[in-house]
Amino acid sequence: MSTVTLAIKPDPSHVRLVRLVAVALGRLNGIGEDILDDIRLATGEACGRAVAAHLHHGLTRPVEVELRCGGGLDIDVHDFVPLEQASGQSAVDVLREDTLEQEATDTAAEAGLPEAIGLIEGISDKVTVNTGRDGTTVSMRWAGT
Amino acid sequence: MELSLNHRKEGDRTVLEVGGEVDVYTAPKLREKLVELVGEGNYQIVVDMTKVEFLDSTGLGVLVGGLKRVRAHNGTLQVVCTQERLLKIFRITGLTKVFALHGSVAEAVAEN
Repeated sequence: MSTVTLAIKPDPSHVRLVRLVAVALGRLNGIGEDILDDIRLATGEACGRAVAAHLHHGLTRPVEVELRCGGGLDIDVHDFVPLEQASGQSAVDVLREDTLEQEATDTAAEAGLPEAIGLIEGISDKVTVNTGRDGTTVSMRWAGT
Repeated sequence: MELSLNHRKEGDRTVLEVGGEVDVYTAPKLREKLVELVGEGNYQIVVDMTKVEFLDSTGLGVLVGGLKRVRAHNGTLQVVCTQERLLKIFRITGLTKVFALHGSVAEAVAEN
């Protein structure tokens, strides 16, 4: 299994770097081009969300990304914005609320922006979202060819 | 690849040709351009995305914002998009029901 770990400055210009690495790793491991398009998009969405979360909350520490390839591709994107584990809510619901809170202050919010997590769910084989005191991890998986 | 934005008039439409990648970093520039065009009185806009290589939800949000802006002036915002990888994003997000999607600028301009 190949593992690549990235720590990117919370700067929107750096999200593209993670997309490039994800696609390169997938291609290196024989994943088909149509799936690579999904990987590119989902990785960008997850990293963009994490970077936006850091910027919104004034965090300067890097967003962390771990990419593991071997019989498929797994990508974890972690931000360090602590979220309350609201009673009775799933982690995905908490993430959706945080996204909407950000959108309320983002210019794109005026447009009723589709949630990034919804898009990721549509183009990956599996998505899990875990939130806690140390932040949120969006884990995505593609089974490969 | 960075974002390229060029616009021209075709009949009563303003065609905004977008090239490169529209993501969380470059989408604000697209938004700025749409705001500028509407501010200058261009309310019938065709966004030509045939040269767009990447589009994410931030870009979609900017397009929706542009649509709302022109609609405030009874205008229209049409999208020209032929790449399946981009059309897929419109479908997954349900925005095929929101945007008039066309296969060419000529087709978009010809629509009443």
